[in-house]
Amino acid sequence: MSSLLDKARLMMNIHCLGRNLVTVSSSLHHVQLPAQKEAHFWYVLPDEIKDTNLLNQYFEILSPSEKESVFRMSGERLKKRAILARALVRTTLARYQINCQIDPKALKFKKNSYGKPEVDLQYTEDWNLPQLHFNISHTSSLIACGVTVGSPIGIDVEEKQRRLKNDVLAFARRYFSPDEIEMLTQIADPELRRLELIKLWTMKEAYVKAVGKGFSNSPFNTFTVRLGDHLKTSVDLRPRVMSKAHEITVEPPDDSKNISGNWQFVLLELYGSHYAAICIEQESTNRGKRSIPVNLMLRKTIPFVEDECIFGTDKAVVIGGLTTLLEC
Amino acid sequence: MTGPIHAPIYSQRSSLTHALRILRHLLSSLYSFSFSSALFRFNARTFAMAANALTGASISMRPLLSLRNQTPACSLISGSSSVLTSSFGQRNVYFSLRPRSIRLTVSCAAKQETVDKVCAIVKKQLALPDDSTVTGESKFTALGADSLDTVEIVMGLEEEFGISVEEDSAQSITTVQEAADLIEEIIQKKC
Repeated sequence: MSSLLDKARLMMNIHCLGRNLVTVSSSLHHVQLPAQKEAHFWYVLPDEIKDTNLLNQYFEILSPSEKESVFRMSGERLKKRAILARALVRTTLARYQINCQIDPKALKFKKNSYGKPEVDLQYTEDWNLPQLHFNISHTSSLIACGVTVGSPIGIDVEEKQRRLKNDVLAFARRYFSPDEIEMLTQIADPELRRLELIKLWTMKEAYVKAVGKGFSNSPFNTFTVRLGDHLKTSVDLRPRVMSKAHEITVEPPDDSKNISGNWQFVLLELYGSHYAAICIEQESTNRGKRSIPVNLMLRKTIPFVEDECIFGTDKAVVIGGLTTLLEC
Repeated sequence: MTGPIHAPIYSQRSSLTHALRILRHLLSSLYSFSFSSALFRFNARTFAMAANALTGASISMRPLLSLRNQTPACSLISGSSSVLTSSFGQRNVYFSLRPRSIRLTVSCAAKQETVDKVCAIVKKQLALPDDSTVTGESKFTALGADSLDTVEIVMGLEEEFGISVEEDSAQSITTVQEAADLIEEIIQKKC
């Protein structure tokens, strides 16, 4: 029996080696898969990556069409950002191999019927790849990739300093729901109002990206995200909970054409300069009951070079959503 | 008994007259067939030339009867797509040449003025220098726009042109040209 298993494993490994080119520089730290209610959040800081050799390495693992997209970007900064974004996705997903080394270059992607990018698992039966979901977001100073197993995920990152070209309330009136407009109107200080808008935007964006049906199917003004400032009556007292988190809720539109899941949010402040929102779908069996916190693992990475686990520092602070930050 | 029909040599004459000549030729050949069991073959190339010459005009072929061994009948489709098929095995093929007005489906691109205004709004939103290259073909994402930029651009366009853009239309625009075209389409519908 065990010899059969060994044989199978050997066959799998041979298969893997046969298909993959083991790159000399692939020193990607293998990571355990996220558990069921767990999300992994990886990010790069483009300003930290200046070595052109490294950037070339990243460029090399891209697919031909991704390379083409990079060339179409205007300007070096945007090109670099595009390379880093794709390299982050590929290297991150490649870390979750089960039995054999996955070459990040070998990963293939497709889009769902609404255009959301997904891993194309068609050809990977031999590799036994799990059902990885991912989503990326980038700003000029931070590029992030969220990963889950078995749950759709959407993320969005914005710089806190981001200035809108339009007036905050005018923008909200154009795009947000009546309750959200009301909430923003009640904030007197314009700067605080702007920050609230940015937070709302990231959460709404993360939600729509998690639902994965495109923006026209979930217009922003048809749902309300609330960052409540009331504490839940039954507070989760597990020792690793970083903060008495404010609960984030999303209220479905009246026609409820999209809302079938139990969506949970996490809102983070990174380095005091960025808001990051993560939205994942929890099992619907939990609906109505006390919400279970989202387990979140944060990692800053320079692919092929180093990874840093973000835990117990003020580099990342949870400012919304029931969340348990995990040690790596 | 039938041999292929060869088309006359293509000359410099007007396409329509030429096509008519081919058809007349075909028709006369047709009538000379016996209607028993003769299979009736067109030279596909003849038809192709006729089709190419007749962009815009339409010929409808209506088979009145069909033979026992009927091979698939086809029709000549007018328009810019020269989809051509040849017709076999029709006992009586009735040609009616009904020259319709040539249908040109050219969707006019937006006025340059509109494109320029869109470029200006995009440059302003993305804080690009005035001399940066933004043209109709420029993709928003290639210029560095993220989703927040895109919705702000849409807002700017709505203000500038006094229009209202639907969510799904807003999602579909990815280049300056597409934005300009959409704007003009909306403006036209308003009038």
